[in-house]
Amino acid sequence: MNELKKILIVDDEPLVRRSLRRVFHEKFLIFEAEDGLAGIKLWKEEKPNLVFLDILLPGMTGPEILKGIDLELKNNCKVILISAYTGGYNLESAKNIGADLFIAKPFENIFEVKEQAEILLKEMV
Amino acid sequence: MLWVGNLPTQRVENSTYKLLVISEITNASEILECLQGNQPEIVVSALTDLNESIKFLLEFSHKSPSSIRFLKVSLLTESILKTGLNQAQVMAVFDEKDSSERYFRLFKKAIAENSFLQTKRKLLVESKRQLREFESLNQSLKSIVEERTQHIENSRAEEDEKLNKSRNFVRFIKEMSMTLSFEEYLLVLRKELRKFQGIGEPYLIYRLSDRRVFVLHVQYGQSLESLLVESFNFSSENREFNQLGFFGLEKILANHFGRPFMRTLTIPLEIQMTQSLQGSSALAILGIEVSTTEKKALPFLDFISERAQILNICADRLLLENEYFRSSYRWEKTFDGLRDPIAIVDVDYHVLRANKKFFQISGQKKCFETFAGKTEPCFGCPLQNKSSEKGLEQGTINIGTKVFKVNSYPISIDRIATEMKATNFVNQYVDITQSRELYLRMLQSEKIGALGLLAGNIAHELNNPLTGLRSLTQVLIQEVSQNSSLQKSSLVSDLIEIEKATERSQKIIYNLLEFSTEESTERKKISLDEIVQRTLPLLKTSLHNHRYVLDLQTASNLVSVEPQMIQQVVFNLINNACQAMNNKGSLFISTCLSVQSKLEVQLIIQDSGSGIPIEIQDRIFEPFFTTKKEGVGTGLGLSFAKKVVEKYGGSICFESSAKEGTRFIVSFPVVEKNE
Repeated sequence: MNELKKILIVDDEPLVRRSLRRVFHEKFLIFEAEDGLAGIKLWKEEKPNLVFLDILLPGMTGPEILKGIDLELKNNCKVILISAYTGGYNLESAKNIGADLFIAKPFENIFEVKEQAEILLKEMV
Repeated sequence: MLWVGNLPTQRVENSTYKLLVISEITNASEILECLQGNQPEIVVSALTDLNESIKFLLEFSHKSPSSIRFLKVSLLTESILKTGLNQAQVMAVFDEKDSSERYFRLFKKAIAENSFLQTKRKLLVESKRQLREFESLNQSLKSIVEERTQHIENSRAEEDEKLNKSRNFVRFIKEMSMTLSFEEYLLVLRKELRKFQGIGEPYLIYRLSDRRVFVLHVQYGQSLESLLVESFNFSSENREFNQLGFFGLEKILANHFGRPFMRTLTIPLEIQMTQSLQGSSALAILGIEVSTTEKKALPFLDFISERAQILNICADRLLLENEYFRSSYRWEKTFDGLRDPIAIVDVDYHVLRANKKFFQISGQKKCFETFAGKTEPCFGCPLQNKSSEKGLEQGTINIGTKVFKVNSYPISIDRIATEMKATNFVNQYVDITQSRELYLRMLQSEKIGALGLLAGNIAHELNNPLTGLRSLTQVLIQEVSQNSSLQKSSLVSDLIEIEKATERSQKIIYNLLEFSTEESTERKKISLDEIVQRTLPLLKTSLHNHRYVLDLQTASNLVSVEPQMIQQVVFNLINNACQAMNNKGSLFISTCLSVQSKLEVQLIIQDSGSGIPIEIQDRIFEPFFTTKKEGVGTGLGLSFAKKVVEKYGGSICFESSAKEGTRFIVSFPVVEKNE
């Protein structure tokens, strides 16, 4: 099946969403959400394969959102936590709350981010 | 007149006298008997025998001494005259030849003389009588005088004795009142007791507030105090020992001293003042051995009773003084042992009393002179609020590098004019230098923490769009460079510039975050160069108006420090330098290996300002010292810098002059060299 994989970007900064979209849009279907509620809604509706999740969002935080998503959905989905806020979060704690990767903002190089995301997606069958 | 013998032929009779003639009887006593004891004025002996005449006259003179004697003879010779005069003491001798005139004349004379003699005799008798009377009067007067004198002498002796007694008593009082210890007390008492025979030494038995009973006596000039082991019953329910008298004190003393004691007089001492202070358990009695009979001891008992009150008063006083000295000593020791300097000061800053900690310079000086070494009251001294309130005043003063909080408690209030003003204060000087510093540092760090938090928040806020900016630009760069039609234009290079700018922005934010984070970090090995470079971006505004030259040469020499801390130091120093210069000053920032020792790196920050005034050069590293207005500068920057630098084994110093500006030199030991 060469269906295009879906990527959901949940971040409140438009330029971040825009740049991520620009990087992935050729090979993936991109969905964007500005806040937690919209994010959950889209997640349940579109069942993306990869979710970029910001930690500090208006309303719910990233971790809270993760909790609100069923395990079933998460099974077939990779979650990358992105955030400028490094307080208390690193790879380990990210994995503890159900994410697969943690990338700190600001991105040094957007293309590296793309690579890491693609590696993650390849792990999925 | 008596004529014994034959009458002469001449006429010898006369009317003036009575003449009695006896011719034969020659016995004088017989004649006198006949005359019935009346002694004739004149007697003439005219006996024929001269010797008999003389004999008769002699005899007659014995019997009747007042009669005038005459002798008549037939013929007068010189020898008869001599004989008559010498032997019979006749007045005259008659003979035949004498005329009647001679007889009359002589008789008249004799009579006159006789009466004269009689008068004389009478006078004599009278005189004698009077004399005797006088004498007896004299005698009686004498005896009266003697009696009086005696009486006076007696009284005087009595008075003298009384006076002596009074003098002794007064002397006793004086000596007692001057005693400074119980030893002296007993010595004085002993001296008095010596005057009495059979009276022994005094022993003092006393108890203060605890249960221990002491016995004190003086022996061989030394006082010996010992603890009475057996329990001693002073108590008044048991009537012993609270009255003057003999109650068997000797048994107790004998037990205690291990020797026999004679009958011992108990003299209870009323120590009211001590009792009111120590409680009624304070008791004292004197014990004195008495070896005479009770009768003989009476004068001694009187003596003691007279002096009882003195003994009481002095014992009381001594006990009180003792206690007073002990408490006073304890109080002084406490006072001196206090950690904080404490002084009692009056309104004019005179130091009345102070503890050891207070005095650095001794002498009667004013508080600010002695304690602070200043010439006028310290700024912030609570004494300056000469308020009339009775409460505690507080103030904070700076002395040298120390900060003291002064608590001032008024202790004596006087009425001055119509106000109640405090005149004396107890000042407690609490050294809060450390705690103040800690407090301020904590405040500072809280401020910084708050700032940091704020900065952190802002940084994060900024990071978001910056991320987007940078990422998007990166994407655009890629797209444009892949698009051949746009390759030649300046679009790519412009975009690259934009991307670099976003990178720089991110770096600044990163540095700001790192600089103001309050997490304590570990020491890292890092070069001064790097620290300076991290800090410079934060100083863009301050450096904006000035020229600066960077000469960093120790990139490969690492020091072991907490980078944030040193960043703050560098930040402060450069900031200070900028503030010291007017527009367009020049700043020279360099790092190099120290000339003296290749094991040290030096950071030099030189400004072209007007230098640090000489009078404050000593003080710039003082905490809280600032020349800026209150609220503008904390005065902590340089003192913090010094602390931090020295913490990592470094040093900080400066050179400054009005001509050449100021140059700060911070050195650190090198821990590693990167080749």
